[in-house]
Amino acid sequence: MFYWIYGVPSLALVALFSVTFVGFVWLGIILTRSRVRRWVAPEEDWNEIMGLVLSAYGVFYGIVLGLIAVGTHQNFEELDQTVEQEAATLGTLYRDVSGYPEPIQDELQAMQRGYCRFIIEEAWPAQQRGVITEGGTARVTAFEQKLLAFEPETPGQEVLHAETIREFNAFVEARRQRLYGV
Amino acid sequence: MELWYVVIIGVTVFLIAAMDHPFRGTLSISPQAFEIVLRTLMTPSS
Repeated sequence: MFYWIYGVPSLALVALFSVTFVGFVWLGIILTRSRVRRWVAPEEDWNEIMGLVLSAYGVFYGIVLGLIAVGTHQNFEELDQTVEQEAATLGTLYRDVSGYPEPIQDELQAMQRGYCRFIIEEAWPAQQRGVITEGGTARVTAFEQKLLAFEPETPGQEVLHAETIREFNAFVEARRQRLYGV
Repeated sequence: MELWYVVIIGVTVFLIAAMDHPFRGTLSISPQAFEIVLRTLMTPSS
């Protein structure tokens, strides 16, 4: 029934809700004021009662504000941990790759260094402006293609290759989560 | 008393606004984790 509100721009919706609720209260006051005055005897301590009512509103507002602040902080912390996870898996991947034979070891590690520098020098300033740069995905794809093209020749290399791919998947997952937070 | 109440509300609203976009503004997530990886692991001299 009220699904149309999701098509309204946020600022207009805020204005609409405020005007509707304030208008409803004003209308109620205007319509019931004279009757309520007749029913309720004049009290000397109205100000005290109004003070209590306002304090109750203050508590409700404070609770809502506190809950929003906690939710925002949790989101911030989760994204911070995701960034740390992406960097940690990149480091682990670098270590794993150091067990590969030459020349693919040097090639893969050079790609990882390039990706890390790209993140620090280009991707980070861009995402501080709310922009996701394209270069990161291209670098990760190039690394993936080179990694998957490797054919292990010994049982040790097979185990290492499987672990490296697993770590690469964890890295890609953390990277995606970071990008969703931009 | 009211002054402190307003200050607390103001600081809370500021924190919400500052942390709502974790990569923007002065109170944001830094690339420090990547810098550490690059400096301590990927730099040949380290």
